Amino acid sequence: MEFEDIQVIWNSEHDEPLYGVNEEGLHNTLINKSKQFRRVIFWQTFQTFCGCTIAITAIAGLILLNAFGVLGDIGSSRALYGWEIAALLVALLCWLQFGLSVYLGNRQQKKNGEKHDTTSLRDDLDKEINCTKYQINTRSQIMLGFVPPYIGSTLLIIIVFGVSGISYWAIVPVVVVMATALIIESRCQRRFVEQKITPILHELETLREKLTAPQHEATALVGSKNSTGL
Amino acid sequence: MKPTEQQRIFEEWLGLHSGLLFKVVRAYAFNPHDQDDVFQEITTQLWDSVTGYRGDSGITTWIYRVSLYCAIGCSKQENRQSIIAEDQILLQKSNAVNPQLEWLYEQISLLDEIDRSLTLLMLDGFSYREIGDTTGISKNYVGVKLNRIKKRLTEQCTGEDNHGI
Repeated sequence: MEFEDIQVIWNSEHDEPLYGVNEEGLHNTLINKSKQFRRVIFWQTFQTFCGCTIAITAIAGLILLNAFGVLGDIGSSRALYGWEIAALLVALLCWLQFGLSVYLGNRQQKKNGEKHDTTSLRDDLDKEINCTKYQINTRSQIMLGFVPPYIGSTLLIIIVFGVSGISYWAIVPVVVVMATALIIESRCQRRFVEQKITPILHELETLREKLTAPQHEATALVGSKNSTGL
Repeated sequence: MKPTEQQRIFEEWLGLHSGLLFKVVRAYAFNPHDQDDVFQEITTQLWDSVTGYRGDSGITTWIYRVSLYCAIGCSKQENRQSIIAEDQILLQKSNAVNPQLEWLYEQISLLDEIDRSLTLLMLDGFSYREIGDTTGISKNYVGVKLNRIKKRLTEQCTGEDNHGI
């Protein structure tokens, strides 16, 4: 039995294809998948956009109301102090930074997704490995990513409580709840990275190793192997 | 690219190269449910890749690369989530099973994911250079690997009299 006989067996599949395709079902699947993906992306962007817009509008509104001297009309006991205005500007910058970083991150991700610049399986693997590493880094540092809006929100709440005549101590439970939520989210992300993404990264790296690692063997053996007719 | 154009190209690819996809599916998934899942994954990837095809490589090479990469990914994901499809997409067509071909696919399935892809490309008549370009490894290394695979397959074949090969 020679390899040519195996080739003949392989070619026999052309004579009698084993499968057919349900074209209508396939079309529906592709459309649904595409819609589902777009919907997820839309909601993620929408939520971030809404969060940022609400926070930025509230902060800017408070500064403007104070500037026009109408803060008292909406129930404030006094005008803003100088340090409070400075703190609000810091809060505004924090939220702008967060919104901008999310926007730029999404845009970069979209660009990467649309870019088909790979030319081989090895390139595909490298690209996937880089994307997975990027995801691991992003998710591992999610606590850092949420620090600016967290600071921004805390400053805003402190000042709103201050001008409303509520004791600054009332901020403590709010800060504790926000900190707890941040820690829980951060741990969930870390667990997700450890249990889901890191194994994927290892698998991808193993595949890449299988594909490329022992290439040096080839140079020694190639001379005698090129006479196979292919 | 307009969606209608994308659909036209996709349907053309599917019409001309569905046999290639079936081979990849059969080499990487071993029961009808998994085969259907892998086929859906591959076709979804292929649909997305239509806009990225610039004609630098042949269409067959491109489709092979997309489908092999997708199939390798699917075979590594143990807890893969199926795409929710109301109908089965991949329909088992022929009742007449070719035992020799079954045996060959069984042997291919025993290889690791990378060797399986090299084997499919080799059996479909790609040259070492084309296989090297598709996989991203050197032509020499392709030669070494394929010679080992050929040797293994012919040895297995010689030892398997009961398949009538």
